[in-house]
Amino acid sequence: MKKPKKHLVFFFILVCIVSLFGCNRTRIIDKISIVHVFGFDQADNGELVGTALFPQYTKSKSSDQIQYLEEQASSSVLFVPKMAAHTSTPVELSKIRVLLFGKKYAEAGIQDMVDRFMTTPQLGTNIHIAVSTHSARETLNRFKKEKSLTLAERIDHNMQGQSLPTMNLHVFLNHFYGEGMDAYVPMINIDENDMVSVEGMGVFKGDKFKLQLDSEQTALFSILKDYRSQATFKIPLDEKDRSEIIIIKSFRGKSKWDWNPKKKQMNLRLQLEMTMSQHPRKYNLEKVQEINKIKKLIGTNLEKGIMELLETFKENEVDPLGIGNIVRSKDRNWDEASFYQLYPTLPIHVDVNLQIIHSGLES
Amino acid sequence: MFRKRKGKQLPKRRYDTVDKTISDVFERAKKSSDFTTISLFEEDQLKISFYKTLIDPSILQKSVLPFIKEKASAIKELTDLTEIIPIEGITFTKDYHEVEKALHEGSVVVFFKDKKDEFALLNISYARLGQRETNDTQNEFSVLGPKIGFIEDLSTNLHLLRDHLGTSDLIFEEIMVGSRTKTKVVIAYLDGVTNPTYIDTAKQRLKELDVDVSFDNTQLEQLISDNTRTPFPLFITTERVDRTVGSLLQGQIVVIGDKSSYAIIGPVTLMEFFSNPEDYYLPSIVASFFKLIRIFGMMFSIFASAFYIAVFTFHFEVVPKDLLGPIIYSRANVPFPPVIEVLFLEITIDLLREAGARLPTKIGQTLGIVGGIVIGQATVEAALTSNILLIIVALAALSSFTTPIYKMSNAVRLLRYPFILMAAIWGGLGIYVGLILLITHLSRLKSLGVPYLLPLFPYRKGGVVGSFVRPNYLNFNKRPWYLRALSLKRFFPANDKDPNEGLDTE
Amino acid sequence: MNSIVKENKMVSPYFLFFLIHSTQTGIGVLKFQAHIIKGAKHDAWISVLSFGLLLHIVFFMMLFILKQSSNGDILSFHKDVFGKVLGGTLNILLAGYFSLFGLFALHNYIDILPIWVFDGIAPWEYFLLLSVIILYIVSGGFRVVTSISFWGVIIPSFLLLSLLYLLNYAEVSYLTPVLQYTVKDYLISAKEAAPVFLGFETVLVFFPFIKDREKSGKWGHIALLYTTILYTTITVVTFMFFSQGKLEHLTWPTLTMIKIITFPFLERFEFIFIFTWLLVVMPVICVNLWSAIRSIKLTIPKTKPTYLLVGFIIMFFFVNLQIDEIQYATLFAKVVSYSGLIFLFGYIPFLFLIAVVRKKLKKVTQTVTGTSQ
Repeated sequence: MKKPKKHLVFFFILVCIVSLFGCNRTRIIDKISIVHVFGFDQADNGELVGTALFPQYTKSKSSDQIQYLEEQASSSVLFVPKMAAHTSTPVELSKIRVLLFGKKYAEAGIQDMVDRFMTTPQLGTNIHIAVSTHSARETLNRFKKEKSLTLAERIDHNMQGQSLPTMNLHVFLNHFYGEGMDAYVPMINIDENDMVSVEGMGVFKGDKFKLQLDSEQTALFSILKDYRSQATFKIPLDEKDRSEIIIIKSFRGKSKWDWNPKKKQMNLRLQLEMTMSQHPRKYNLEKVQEINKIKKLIGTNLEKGIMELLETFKENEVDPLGIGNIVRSKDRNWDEASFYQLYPTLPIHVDVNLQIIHSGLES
Repeated sequence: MFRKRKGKQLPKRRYDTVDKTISDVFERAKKSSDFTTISLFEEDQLKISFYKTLIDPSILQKSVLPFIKEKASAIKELTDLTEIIPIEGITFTKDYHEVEKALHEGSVVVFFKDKKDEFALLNISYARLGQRETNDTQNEFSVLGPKIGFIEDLSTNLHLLRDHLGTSDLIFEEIMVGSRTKTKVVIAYLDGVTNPTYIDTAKQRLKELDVDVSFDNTQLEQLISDNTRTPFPLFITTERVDRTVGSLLQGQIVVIGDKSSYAIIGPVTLMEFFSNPEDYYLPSIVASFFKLIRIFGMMFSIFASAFYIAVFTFHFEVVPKDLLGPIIYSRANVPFPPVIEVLFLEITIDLLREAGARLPTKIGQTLGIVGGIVIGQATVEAALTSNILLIIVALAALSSFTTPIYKMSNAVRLLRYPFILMAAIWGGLGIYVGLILLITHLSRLKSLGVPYLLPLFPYRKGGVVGSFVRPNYLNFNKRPWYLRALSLKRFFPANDKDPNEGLDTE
Repeated sequence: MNSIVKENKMVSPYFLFFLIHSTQTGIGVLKFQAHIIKGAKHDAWISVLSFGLLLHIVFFMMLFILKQSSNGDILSFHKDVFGKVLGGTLNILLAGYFSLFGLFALHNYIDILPIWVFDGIAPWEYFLLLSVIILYIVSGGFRVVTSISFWGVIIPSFLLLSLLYLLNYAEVSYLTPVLQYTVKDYLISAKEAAPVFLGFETVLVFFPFIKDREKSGKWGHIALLYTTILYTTITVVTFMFFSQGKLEHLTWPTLTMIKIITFPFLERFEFIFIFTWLLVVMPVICVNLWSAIRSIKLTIPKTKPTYLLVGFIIMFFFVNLQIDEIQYATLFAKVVSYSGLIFLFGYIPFLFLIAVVRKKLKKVTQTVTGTSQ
């Protein structure tokens, strides 16, 4: 091919490419609606109700201009097309940060929804998943009224600095599908002052929501499950006197499970490192016996709490701690069905070993 | 396997006119007004012809003419002139080609009027007329170190080199280039160190060059390089003497030309374009850090705008959650897609740069400030671009100049545009495709036969660290082995004799 | 061994490492974990490890065959053993096999893009884009192809550091108890793991281009070992990361793992991962295509390689258009993996036996002629 002709052909191709392809399949960042929180509910006729919150960043930098959309459809995949009919820009799901389930829907079984989560490549896997004590629609409406879209941050800092156990979509899916484990999620509550609060956690059995734990039980659960959890515990020595109270904050906790196949018994050894935030005046922490006394008090109190928690799990036949999985990894002849038949009457022995790192500025 | 077809051999032709006899030479020369012929003695016996504009008139007046006029009667033969004129180097010839050549070199031709077949040539050219005296390398500035640069006169340049390297291993070989200009080009190398293949390749290429003029050494570099279709320079062009001397010692060859203040150094590899002579005057940690910043700057300059387009047009999921708000808010009023924004700003900055290079100095400063600050501010206010983009494009434009060689920064400036186009059409995939094409292109380049991506690609031990980091002098005693020099060791670093013992007093 | 390859087209021996490793790692790495759990579940990493170690024997056989051939590559070996016509046909079949492999890799990569990155862009557009690169690389000759395989190992190795981030979520209990399954389960897992190890058969064609052939064999073994260790590590990390139940539902386990990585300035690292994977896939396509062209060029003289290259690309384009549907993709994968297995474990040992017999015959004839003189 002669030189000038070759260059002409090349130039022609370049112009074609730029003009044909450069225009209509873009997702320019200020021309899309980015969904931040998605809520799932079940309507009375069995169809699903999806609610979404979008911040409108084109109007303000911080996310206080929020748009709220609600749609009803028979399958979750149809939500996006229906919502798109109401927005001026395409709806994009890739930046969803919280998936919220309404309580009634969670109790009815969320298997199909979770299957959809697995097969949508647009969803990230370290997003939060939570269940609300009311319906998702009400909770999202509350956020719209508060004009702040900070649900993800609230869940985040509670997981890191307070007593919620860490959870994201990836770990949830692992527990959901894995054998020998049940999934658990943080709970979102609307309290008496109409404020949204993140406290407590809920446990699923299979794909149905079964059990809700209060904040003390959640704190105990998080020190059992996570290595670095900063839950705060209150140990009242005297019910009436407000100053007779010990408050400890956990720092690290390592749990070691042992399975005794002959006796069919589990042993839990919990090694805790804690800091003491408040203790009654009468204890002088410079003396070793006093420290040991306090440690024994705290230890027995914690052991009692944990045993009660485990009993609650056994009664409700849920296994969020993954005891089944632990036994499976140690015992070659493990069978899921027979283990869970044994589970409600499984003896678990708890042993807490405590180390107090520091006690703040008090001595 | 995939060889290009061999180029056709063009017939050898001369493009200037060929004179047949000596009278033709003089006939033609008389047409110019600066060709003078002085006749001496009665009946115009002895004639001296020269180009007035090429010779040094003071030497003619002081050292040639008085002596001839004094001993006028003693001149019977031309050969007597050697005893009369005190200047050395008189040659005698009968060949008119030599006469023509000598006239153009600034010689005077002395001949008897009636014996027009024998001539005496005396070279009294004034080469430095009209040229500057010094060059303090404003274009390759370094804070530390000597600021000596080459000037346009060949003998001064050669003097500078030979002054630095006082070894008789330094060899200069002279070649004439250009059929009309007959520029002298010198290849310099260290005998016993440089690999002979490089010298032979360069010599052969220069000799086979068939051009009528070579304006500057930088043009010569393109004429003898391995691949002319690439934006990347295949030789280093430099004005600084210390850099040239350094590369001679490493085993590279240097080509210096007359009428050009740039020396070209070859063979080079890509990583050498990031090293600055100042690196050797600073401690090795500081120098390595700055070298890494330069490399980072160049990559940032090529990819920054392309990343902006790719992320904001196709891959918004990559943006961190806290940045999402400010970015969208800043782009909210911009009517164009990111591509058009970026192209607009890039072209504006290139226009500013081109215009700023050609403005006269007095106007240049004011207009530069106006252009830079006011236009930038105004485009953001008019919502033609977002301010984040302005920062990115300005930084990218600045960082393209971090590489010390001007030709490389031009290549970087150019490369930005294809990446912008690829990112606009195919997003992140386009950037990667462009990157692969770039890497393939670089792997195919060769500088005087040496692969361009050494020591990274045909991996040479010890070369990789040296490319990114300037090694300590203690570890530095060998020449880089990819240059296949004939001798590797440069010096033997002695150990510190008293490292830990301080002075007796504290 | 004399060779017909000029010195200025050969590459140093340590490039054998990069060539072999880069042609083995392809798309399979992104998907294989979901398939190998069909047999031995959480112990499948043992199958991966053992299969990889088994390949050393195959490679040793290959080296032996190559040493016996007159030119150092399998094309001349075919011609020596089977004669010109049959040998030529075998060479063409070999070229077809390599081009099939290359096409498969390209097709697979183009498959990922619409799912994970861009929606709604037709695959033939990507194909045009990638074919520009392939044309540019393969027409540069063997040295340029080697440089791409070099960079295709070095640059993506930064991605390995991302595995460290994943260890945050690792649960060792998903891996224990070890050795819980029968041998048959392990064999099933090994068969599923086989496609990821294929690809290095091209060494049979480009071996004459390596300098210092006698000593370069060790680089090949190191490359196979490195690939095996790499795959085993990825498998182990995947198993620690996902519970078995979830892994059964995933089609692209590696990419789903990478989704969870977040940096402060860059969320969703998987985009960078997918795009850098293009650099990993490129050597597979280019080396296979180059080998196919070389096989044809040496068999049928007087073919211009440039035309062959363009011809191959156009043929790929049309075949790609035809096999766009889902059912063809799985069929294609099966065809490629079976033919690969047969080639490695059936054809190579067969040639090895022939080479051993020939060597013995040669020795016998030499001693006969030696003693008779």
